[in-house]
Amino acid sequence: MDIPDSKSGVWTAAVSKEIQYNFEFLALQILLSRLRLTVKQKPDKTTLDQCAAELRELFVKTIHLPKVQKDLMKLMQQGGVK
Amino acid sequence: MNQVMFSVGEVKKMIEEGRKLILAGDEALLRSLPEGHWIGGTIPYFMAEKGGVLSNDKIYVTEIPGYIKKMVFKTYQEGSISSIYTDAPERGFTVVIIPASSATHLSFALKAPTYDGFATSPLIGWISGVHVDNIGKVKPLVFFGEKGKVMDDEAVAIHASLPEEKYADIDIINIFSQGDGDVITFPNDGFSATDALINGKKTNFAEYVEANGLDTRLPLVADYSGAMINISFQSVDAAAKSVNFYAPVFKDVEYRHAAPVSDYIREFTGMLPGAGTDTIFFSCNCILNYLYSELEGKKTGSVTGPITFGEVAYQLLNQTMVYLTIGDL
Repeated sequence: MDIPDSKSGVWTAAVSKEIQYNFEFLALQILLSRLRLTVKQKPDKTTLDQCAAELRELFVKTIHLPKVQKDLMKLMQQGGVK
Repeated sequence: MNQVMFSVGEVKKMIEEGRKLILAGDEALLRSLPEGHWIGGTIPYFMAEKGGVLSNDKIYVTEIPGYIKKMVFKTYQEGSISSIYTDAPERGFTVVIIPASSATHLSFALKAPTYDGFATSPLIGWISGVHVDNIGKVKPLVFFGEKGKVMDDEAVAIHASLPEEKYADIDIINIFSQGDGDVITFPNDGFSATDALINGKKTNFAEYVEANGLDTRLPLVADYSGAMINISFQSVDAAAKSVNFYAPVFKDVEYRHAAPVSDYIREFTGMLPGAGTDTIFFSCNCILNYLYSELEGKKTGSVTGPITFGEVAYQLLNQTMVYLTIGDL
């Protein structure tokens, strides 16, 4: 499964918007919440880009996990409920 | 169900056979063991084969599976535990044991989410403890069997690499959910709080807890993108007008007091993984669940493990069962 590249908007959207993805992977749930909090506390472009990159890195390192593959589908569909 | 509680003699034999073990038990029992490929931590409470039990004569044993060929044992201090994620294998998992109330415990609790590589590798573990009557009198310890070290201020970890065809995953069972009460935030990270924002209004938190009659056996709960993460109350200091917690609250995270739970066992067993519990390699549950829900003599399905002074699933958790499964790709 291909992971969207770092320029894709899915990463910045995930860390800056309150999209509900219903992720199953615990590490992703915890990390995403922390990244969203970081962006909320310091909403500049550098922070946003760093947080988006950190989120992508988690997918890169864990994409072999079945749960992560399912969660990546949810992320890419961006079908979350706002 | 597999046997999990063993006598000292049986554990000595396993160590002498070169088996690789994660142990939990009474201090005197662990001190009597020979050097070998094991780590351990003190605690006398367990979810054993027959249910919750207080034991001073048996050791809880988790054996590292034989298919794990590469393992690194490592100790961490307050200043080095920040590298625990970057030390983790590319494919595998890490088990850590940290002595309660040590500087390493406090540092990990407060700062783990800021560590390089946070959450990018499965990190599970527990905070070692003592009999509740001995809190403040006896120090919780961890043991590094390969070096014969006993430590009250350092953590010990096993970094285990898995073969290509296997994967590790961590999940939690938390029977608590957010109640429908006030939104509570805190102005600072910390194990204690004087002020809080209650629905955005600055309020002394100790006075708030008292005035609203909050049941402090129920934790504060934050919603981490669908995962319910607890902060347990330790004490309310009316004189100092402050509230102490067993894990740190974090600035700006939105907490709510947990909804009441009527039957821990029923709620817990209803949340066990649908795929069953056969693939659980390690799990542990919280001393507060054991005490408040009176788990002694009761079974939480077929799940066993030490009862701990804090649980680690990527970061420090409270009043939660954490577990690591090993599956086939």
